[in-house]
Amino acid sequence: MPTRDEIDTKERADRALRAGQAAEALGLYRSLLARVAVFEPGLYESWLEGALGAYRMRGARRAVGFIQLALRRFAEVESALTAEQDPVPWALALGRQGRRKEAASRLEKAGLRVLAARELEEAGDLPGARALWERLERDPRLRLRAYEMALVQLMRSRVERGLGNEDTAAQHLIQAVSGLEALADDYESRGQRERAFDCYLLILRVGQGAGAAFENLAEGYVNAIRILMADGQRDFALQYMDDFMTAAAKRFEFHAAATVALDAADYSRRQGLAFEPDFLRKAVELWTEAARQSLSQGQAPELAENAFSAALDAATSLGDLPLMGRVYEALAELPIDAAKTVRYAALATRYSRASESPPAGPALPSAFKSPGAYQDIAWQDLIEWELDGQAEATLALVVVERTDHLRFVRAALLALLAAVDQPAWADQPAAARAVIAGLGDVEVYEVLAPLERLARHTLPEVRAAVMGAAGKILCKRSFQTVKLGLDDSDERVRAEARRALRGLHFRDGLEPLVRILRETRDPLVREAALSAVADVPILEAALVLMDVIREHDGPLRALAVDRLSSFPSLGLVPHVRAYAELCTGGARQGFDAVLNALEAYRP
Amino acid sequence: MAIEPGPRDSDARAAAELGRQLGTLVYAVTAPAAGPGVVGQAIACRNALGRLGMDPPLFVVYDLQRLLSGAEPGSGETTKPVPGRPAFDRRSAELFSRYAALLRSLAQTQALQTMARRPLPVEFEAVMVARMITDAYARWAGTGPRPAPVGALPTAAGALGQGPAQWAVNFDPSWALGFMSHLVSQRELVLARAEQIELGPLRLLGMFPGAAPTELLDLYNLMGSAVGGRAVEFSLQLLPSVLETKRSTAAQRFTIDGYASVERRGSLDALLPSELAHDSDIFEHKVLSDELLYYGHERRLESVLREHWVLLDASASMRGLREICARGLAVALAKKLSLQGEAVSLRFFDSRLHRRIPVGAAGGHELPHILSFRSERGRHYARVFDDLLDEARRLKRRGARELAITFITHGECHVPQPLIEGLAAVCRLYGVFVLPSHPLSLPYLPLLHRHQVVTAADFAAPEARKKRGLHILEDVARANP
Repeated sequence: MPTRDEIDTKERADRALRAGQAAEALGLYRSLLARVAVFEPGLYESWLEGALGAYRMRGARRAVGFIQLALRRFAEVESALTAEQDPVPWALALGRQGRRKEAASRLEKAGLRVLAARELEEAGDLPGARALWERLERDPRLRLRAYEMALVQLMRSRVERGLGNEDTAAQHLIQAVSGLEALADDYESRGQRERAFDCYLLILRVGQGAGAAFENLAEGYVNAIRILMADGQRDFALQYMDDFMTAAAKRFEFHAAATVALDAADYSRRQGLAFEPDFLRKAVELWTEAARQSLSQGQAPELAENAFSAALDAATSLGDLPLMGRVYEALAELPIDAAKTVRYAALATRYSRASESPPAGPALPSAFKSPGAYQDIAWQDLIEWELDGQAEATLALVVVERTDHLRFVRAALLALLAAVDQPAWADQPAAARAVIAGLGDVEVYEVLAPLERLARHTLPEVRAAVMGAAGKILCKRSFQTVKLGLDDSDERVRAEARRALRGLHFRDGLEPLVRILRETRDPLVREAALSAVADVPILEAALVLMDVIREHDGPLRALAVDRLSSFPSLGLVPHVRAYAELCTGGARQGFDAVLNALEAYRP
Repeated sequence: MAIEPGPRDSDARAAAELGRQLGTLVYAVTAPAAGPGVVGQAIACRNALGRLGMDPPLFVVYDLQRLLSGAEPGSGETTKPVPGRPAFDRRSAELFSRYAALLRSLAQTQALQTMARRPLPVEFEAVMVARMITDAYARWAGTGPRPAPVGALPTAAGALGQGPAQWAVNFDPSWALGFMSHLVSQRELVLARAEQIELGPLRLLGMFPGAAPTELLDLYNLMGSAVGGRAVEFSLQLLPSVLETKRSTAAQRFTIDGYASVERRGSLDALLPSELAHDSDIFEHKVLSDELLYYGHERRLESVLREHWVLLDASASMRGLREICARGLAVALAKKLSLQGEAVSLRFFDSRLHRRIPVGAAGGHELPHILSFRSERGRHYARVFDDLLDEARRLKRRGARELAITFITHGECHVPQPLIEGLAAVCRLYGVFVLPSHPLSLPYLPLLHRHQVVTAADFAAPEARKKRGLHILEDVARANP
């Protein structure tokens, strides 16, 4: 239900519109449209309709076009926008009406071949798409862009396969995967693990394809998991392990599946999660499957014996004696050395007599599994490269394509309208601030590229605004922009960057925060980073605070003591005691103060 | 981030901890009155366990280690007073009896009975003890924070000369009963682990000289790893045949060692007797024209003329059966080539060419590392083979030795062709492709001197598997004349 205020404002805006006072009406509608988190059916749309009317009255065709885009009235967009000025939203609107080839033609004319190829692929025009990918392969802009070149080769491979050219497809795929391997290694060596992860995700997706090589699937998954674990991305790591286990088993790669099940069990245990027993039980099942597969294929019974022994090992870790008994039974039935089978049979009898299996542990719940864990980053990254940080085009894409997040679509539209109000906004600090703030409100990964471009603006006011916006986008990549700001020559930018840093407190952000904390020599930056760390409510963050108490003194230690004393995580006391035991002097006093506070807080 | 106490603190803590641990020996069931040498061994074993992240009371380590040496566990008699041991109440007496019973059951297990007959280095003993108590210890330790470990206890301290009773006076040992109680409660798991100890790795290590001192963690991982254990089995199937390989020899004219050949030159005592049967004219003619035949004596090759690098793909693409097969094959191959007199080294690769592991006379201590190595990188074959080419060219420039390279990998190992061409020009290049998930289609295959593909069909039966493995080994060996 709309609030009284919303109803009143809407009525006033409607009256102003009817009275031909477009500016007043628009102000009121814009105040309503700022409430992006209103989800009553039809309500926000009614405000949009009002704003549309006001813009029409003022003759603001671009604004009208963008609102029509948000209202998904694509047929109206064509008349409001021009292909020359706004090729991306114009073509997107055409594409959504099924006129994809026209859209592609317009995009190609604008030099946007990636988007054009996408439209052609959607239209089923694979030869046309292939021609565009071929041209992109020769594009001089890609000569020094190895990552994007690998993506283009991936795309080319896919299209060639669609056209039945298996050899050419394989050739391009090999080039793409080899390129991605090299890039992943390079990124990892330079500490850019997120980018390395992207490469492994792409290799993984290559391996996921129908009839694709398991070797690529394993390469992608295992390395992606390794990076996720190193970055402390526990939930994603477990999801990937679980998914890899399932995928490997589906391809009858039971040895690999069982190994990852054991890894997942070990990781769950180290993370203090309850999934260890379930993963161990799955490992038993998978090793058993491996043994059965081996027997059914007429392979040596010793191979089956090996697999059963591994199953036994997992069952023992589980502490499940009856299960061990069943595995021994299977071992006793193998056509192997008689002395061994007699021994196995005796052990089977011994363990089968055991009382009961321990209760089954919980399986990894679906809540741990994110639907966005395997994003199609190839398209995303190529489009980002092609748009080169153009704010309006990027925002238009968000408006049309991020329909899964209505709030972000609305925020993107508002940013677009702010940009439309002042077409030369990038050169006017006040207008730029408005657009940049709007970009920050969108809060999705896609707007980081325009912000990164604006972070190199010559005007410090603009750069400072960028810092504020970057601080709202809770992605690891935001730290790149903020770090630029921390080293800026202008204090206003640096101050904004510190403020932004202070706001970037999210689980995945802990690692970059700690890196900044350790690398910087600026006490103000340290303080901001430490405060942000203290706002990440997980044990790992508390451990960082303990390290600071132990290693630093002065205000930083005092801040760490203060924040740790009211840290929201439970079960902290034993950790603090373990640290305190080994410290003397100020550090010991600090830990004692924390212990006192935590003990006093305990209910 | 690790928390380390200062050096002085650390020494004092170690001395105190030594006393505390020695005091627990009053609970030992196997020959508690053993001398300082045996106690020192137990402390060394416990220190090794510490390196594996385990910190059990000394008496448990002592008892299990003694069992591995074939000592008989005592009866767990609780009524007989033991100097220094706190008097047992009914509950602790029962606990002690159950602990002794556990040790007796352990001593009956097949693995312990087999091991009791062969002396083991202390590192191996530590790994066996760790395997036996792994689950029980994990459940006891939990995942919560633990006090910082004290570090290694001194094994040569004078303190070892004092009896446990004296230490038990200063350090009440009853703190250790908690672990005893836990161990007894996990009796079935401890027994199960003992039953499952695989002697394969020990047998394999026995086939390589110089295998005793090894990296503890590698050995532990090998004993506990599903992959490593299977690779051991694979190696064990191939190695006995490999060991039949005759060491490469040459002939000499010195009168030592056995006869090996017939030569044109030699001393009179090596003259073939049949030469004396000729008429004197013919004999003189043969002497003058240097046509007499002499026995040649066997001579060992003193300088190795060939170097063979066995490269083993450790990337994640090898996960599963490929990894097992590849490692078993690599170990057997390296052994065979070294027996043939080649200087063999084994190297892992992923996105890097890892350190060279010589697999010669004294390479056995690296076996656990080879079989349990786990890559922490992705793959990057262009870089690896580029580095390899550089090294191969350097060796060629030095001109001393011929080079052969065998790489064992998977079906998606795509290496830029120019690199393969370059390598093939400076060395004999051999590829072994293990269990490709698709028909092998690598453009550089024709550039290799030879290659082999291991398929699932090669595992059809033990004999077939062995035959196939040996065929590959023979083929690689033949490919390097």
